[in-house]
Amino acid sequence: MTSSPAASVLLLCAVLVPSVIAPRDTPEGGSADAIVRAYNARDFGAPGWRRVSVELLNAGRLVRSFDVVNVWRRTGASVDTLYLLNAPLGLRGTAYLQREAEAVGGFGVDLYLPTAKGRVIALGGDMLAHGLLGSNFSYEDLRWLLPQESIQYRVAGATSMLGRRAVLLDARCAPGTCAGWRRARFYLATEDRFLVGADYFAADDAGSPPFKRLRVELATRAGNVWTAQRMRMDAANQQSTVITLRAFHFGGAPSSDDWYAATGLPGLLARLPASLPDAFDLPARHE
Amino acid sequence: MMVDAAIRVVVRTSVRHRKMLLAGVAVASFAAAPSIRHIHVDLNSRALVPRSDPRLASSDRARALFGDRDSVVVGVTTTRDVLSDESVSLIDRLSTAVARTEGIDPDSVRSLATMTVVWGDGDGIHVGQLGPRAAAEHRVDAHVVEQIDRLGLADGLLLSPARDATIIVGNADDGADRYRLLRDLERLAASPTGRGTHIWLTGTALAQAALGRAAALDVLRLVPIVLVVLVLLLTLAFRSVPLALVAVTEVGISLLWTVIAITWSGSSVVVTMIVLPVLLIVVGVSDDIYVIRRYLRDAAASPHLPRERLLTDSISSGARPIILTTLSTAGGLLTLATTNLRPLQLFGIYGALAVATSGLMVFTVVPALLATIAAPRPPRASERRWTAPVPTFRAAAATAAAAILVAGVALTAAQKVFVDDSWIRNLPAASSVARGDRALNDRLGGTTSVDFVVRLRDGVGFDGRDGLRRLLLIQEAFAKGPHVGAVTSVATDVLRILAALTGRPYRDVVASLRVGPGGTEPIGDAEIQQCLLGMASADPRRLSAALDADYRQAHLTVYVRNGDYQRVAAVLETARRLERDPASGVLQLQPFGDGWISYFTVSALVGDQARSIGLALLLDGLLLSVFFRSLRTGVIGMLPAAMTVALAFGAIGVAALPLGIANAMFASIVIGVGMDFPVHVLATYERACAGGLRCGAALHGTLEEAGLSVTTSAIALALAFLVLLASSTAPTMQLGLVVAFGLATTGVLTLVLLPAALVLWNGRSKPEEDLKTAAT
Repeated sequence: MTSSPAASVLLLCAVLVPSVIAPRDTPEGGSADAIVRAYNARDFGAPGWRRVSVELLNAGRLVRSFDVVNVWRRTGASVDTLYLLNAPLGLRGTAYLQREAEAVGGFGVDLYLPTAKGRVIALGGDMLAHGLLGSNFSYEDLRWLLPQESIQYRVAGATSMLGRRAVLLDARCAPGTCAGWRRARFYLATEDRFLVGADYFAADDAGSPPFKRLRVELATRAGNVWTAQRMRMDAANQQSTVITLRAFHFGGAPSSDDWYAATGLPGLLARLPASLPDAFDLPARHE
Repeated sequence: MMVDAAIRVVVRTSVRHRKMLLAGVAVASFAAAPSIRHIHVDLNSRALVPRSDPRLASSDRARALFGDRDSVVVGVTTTRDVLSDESVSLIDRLSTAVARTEGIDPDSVRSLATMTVVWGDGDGIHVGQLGPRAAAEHRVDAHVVEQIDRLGLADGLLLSPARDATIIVGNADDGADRYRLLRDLERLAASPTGRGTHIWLTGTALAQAALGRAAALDVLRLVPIVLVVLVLLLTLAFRSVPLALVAVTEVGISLLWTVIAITWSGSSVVVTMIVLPVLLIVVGVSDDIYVIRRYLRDAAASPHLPRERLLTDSISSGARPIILTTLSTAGGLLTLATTNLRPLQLFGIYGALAVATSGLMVFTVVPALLATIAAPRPPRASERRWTAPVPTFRAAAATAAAAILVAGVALTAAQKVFVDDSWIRNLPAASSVARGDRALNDRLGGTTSVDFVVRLRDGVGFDGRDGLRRLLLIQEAFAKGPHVGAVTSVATDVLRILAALTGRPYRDVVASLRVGPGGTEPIGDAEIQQCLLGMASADPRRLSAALDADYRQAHLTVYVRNGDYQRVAAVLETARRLERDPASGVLQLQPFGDGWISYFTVSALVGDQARSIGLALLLDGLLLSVFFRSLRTGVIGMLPAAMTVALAFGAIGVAALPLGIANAMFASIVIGVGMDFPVHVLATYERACAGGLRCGAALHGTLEEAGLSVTTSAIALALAFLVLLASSTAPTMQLGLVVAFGLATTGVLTLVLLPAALVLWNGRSKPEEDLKTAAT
């Protein structure tokens, strides 16, 4: 499906952790590991693409925004995601490649800046807690899959969020293995296996306030796939990031290896619009 | 008269019920003393400056904007290359240990180990921190070393140009226990290193702790020395150990109760107050000297009078000048409470409380103790005969002329007085922080930082070529300063990222931006925006410490070698010059941070103290005028202290001693304490005149009666203040020296200038003839 501008407003998905509805496999009442496995096994529309606007807000005021085209594929237990900046003009052509696998250390990010004249930068593991485009969303927050190694999950209760029943998954990260947080609470919509919120804590003690908080504010469904139309990450320093879906298509996007190689990032701006004209049809915002 | 009667009742009651009184005082003191363990010492430099000052509020906002706080610096120097595998491994280990130290924000720690480096060639490059990279590789690869050279990273900030020194820098949490921080890091600095490698400590947070510790040790050391010196001096003066102990016991109790009051009120002790105990002991003993001298004289004159009667008569008859000196000293100290600075306010309030308590003790505890000890030995005949000479009219005129001349010279010399101070220079030279600061200043760009928020005209931002170029030029203007070792801002970071991404040398990239769009490889807005994005991706904390969210306000830091007030002032002058120059494009360079707060603190403290001199002199003049019911006497009474302050400023100017936080207090102390001398002389003179004596005779009697007390008091107090020369900190030593000089001078002027002024004010009457008349 290719989204029209009108449909895109309704059918938003975000960069973080979109999800899928799989009512037949509802894990309610299952163990935490079973919930995580079921969540990771969901259909999230790969290979697919979407176009989002990322807005950085400071004390509620818009300070910067980006127009991003995002393409992803799934290969067995691994997911590769491309991010291509379409606007602002000075950053057009900037591209990221995010690779994730369920195995330990199976997460990496390559960055291409046009000014680097063809050279791609592999970000070190110590930088993966940093925010994508300087936003409150870290690279790790943008994973499609919940990592299973080095994190202990526990079902901590149930709640209601975004008009849905949600299971509260308490995640504790082994020291030094997760960048940016030691403890997190994931809110997974029970029926839909869809991530509707998350709280991130810097310390093991969840009694203190989270240093950042994710909330899906609007979601929509396309086939079996539920995705966020608008989601917001609020940090303690009055900075927020809002990601709004503008257009998307599930189940039809480039998926061959040459697209998902780091060496392909410098040519992505030249190739992707030709391959996905619908994704670039919309005028760029905030030029 | 009511006051005299009331004092008489108080003294008589104290003597009559001395056991009950002394037991009550002892029990109360012992019961309350343990609470002083809970006294809170506030070492944050922020505690020294007024909370309400708008400049400080702006500084606080800037600090919050860029996440800036008091710094902690751990330095490593080595005779080998800092970039050797061994040194980088040590720095990595130290960086981790510093980040884990309680009281330090772990995310704020920066070092070579946390420095973002790029490695790899061809199509792919890697970005990561040097420490983990070197640890993974078990070596620092040549490419990284080459890159550090190419990117100009050995610029004196994290790495010295000679690559023989580096620092690990972090932010201390605002509420961190700085003593504990210093202790923990001193332990870390003592950890074993390779041969020729040393670990050093410095930074504002540690300097504060080191200064607080030095001051506290000073108190523990100096208080007993001052007490011993006073006991010795007073024993010599009174020729009696018990009498000396009476005076010292009284001031000890007053001091203890003041400290208890500070504890109970919940006030914090700030660094400038730590010298207060020594000061109050000396100040407190002054009135005791007059009381005991008078008691000895009266005891000699009326040897058969019952002790209770003798004490009541002697102390209550000399009460008025003591009340006046207590009021004038407490009032002088209270003028400090009118300043806008917390350390001076606290110093003034609790100093006044201590003086008032001591004044109360003079009429209660002192007579009770005097009644308890054995009867005094009468003074020797030589002591009773000693007196300063009464000047003839001609001599008085000559003295006055000489005084005017000397005052003129002193005031001229005082024009050379300059303000200077530095946290580090105030530390004992042997302290770990002072040594560390010296070692690192010699090699790096400077450990004193002056921060600025840079705003450009017309809302120009720093995410474009124009804004970044202006920022670079501002940076270069600061770098031309004589003591500036390094300057950094987001311009440096962006240009280094650009150099790393393009493989060009850093200096070429700088030249490209400086030249502008006409250069061979111009830098455009897109390149700058991409570098900022790269920074946001690789090191967002550094970006948020360098730019605000809108990219319209930049953080620029100027590092000053061996920074002090004068050197920081030069940096601030450069900022003002840039603000005035329309070509610079600067809308505002707002200073903030460690260096500026230190500068502001010194400026405000010294300025307020200088202003309080006038107020103190005015207040004391008013008190004297009211007390003696004569404006003329009030003016005459002011002369010794006013002249002394002028002389002291002149001496400071000639000796080129800088005026700083500690030694600027000298004037208030000299006025407050030194005023006692003329008060006692004038009170005695007034009494003699009231008794029908003419000028010359009254003066002769006055100098005979009060002269010895003034001399004893001036010598004892000056010598006691000279004990401060044993302090481990230079400003305290200077304070002791200047106050000792001031009190000795005030004593001399009281016995020379004051009589001359009295003779002159009495017109054509010849004092020598009065004396002859009185003799016949």
